[in-house]
Amino acid sequence: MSQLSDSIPRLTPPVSTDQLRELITGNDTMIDPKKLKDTVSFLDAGADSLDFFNLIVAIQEAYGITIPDSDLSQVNTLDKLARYLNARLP
Amino acid sequence: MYEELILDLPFKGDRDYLRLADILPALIELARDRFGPQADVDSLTIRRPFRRGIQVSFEPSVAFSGSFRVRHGRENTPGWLLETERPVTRRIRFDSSLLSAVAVSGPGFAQILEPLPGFTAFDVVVTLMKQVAAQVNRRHWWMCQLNLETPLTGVFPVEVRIRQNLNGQFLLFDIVQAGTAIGSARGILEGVSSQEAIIVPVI
Repeated sequence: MSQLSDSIPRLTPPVSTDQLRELITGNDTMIDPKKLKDTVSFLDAGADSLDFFNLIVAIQEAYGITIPDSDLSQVNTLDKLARYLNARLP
Repeated sequence: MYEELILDLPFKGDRDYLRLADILPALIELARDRFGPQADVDSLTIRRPFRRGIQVSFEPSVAFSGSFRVRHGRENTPGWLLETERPVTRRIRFDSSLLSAVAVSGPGFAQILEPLPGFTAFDVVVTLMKQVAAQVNRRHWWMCQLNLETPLTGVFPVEVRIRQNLNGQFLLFDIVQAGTAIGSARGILEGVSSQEAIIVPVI
């Protein structure tokens, strides 16, 4: 297990679910990597609210993007998150 | 080999739970006993309030309620916190209103310029986080994660700034000591800290 670092390396698009999975499971998390399939919600994979918060912060810092609060409901799986980011990143 | 390490911590003031600032100094002491005087705890996460005694483990456990990382030399060692069945039997006096009274705050930040006898730097940081968080929502905030790039020392002023506000439920803070950012902390609004309460229907 490693802890979330605030110095997250900048990543470039296109975003893949594998890239996101690595970003998530490389951190201190309740998420079970075995359950974290592309279309399984983070909640069903074991995430708690802190995990989701850390995930959003890590992604925003890694990709230099701001995810508005109103869009959070659109990014509850790896697949949806990757599609969301690829649609918005240059 | 199984080794039982228990943190013998009292409740502070009228609280019936142990908070991040209570646990961190005890963990640092334990880390230095185990890894040497230069060891430090650079990360601590608490997933829920601890209302009973805390067992420390350096072996992975599925039943953990918190986790931490010890930095010693060039190595990092992870650890886990488990809540035991042992009741917390001690209570000590603690009144953080003295800290709140001397804090200077403005939009998105709060700072304390001078040390106050009887309070640790961790007490100061938590008090400042709560003060800043109250600008967002006056309900109770649970300070659940601390990451330190460099150790928190007794140097003042200490300042806490909001870096990010997610959905009014999560706050990411920068911790600044004598003008230098030394780490970050996270706070969750009470009521969304358990697994069951995961920001439904957001996720």
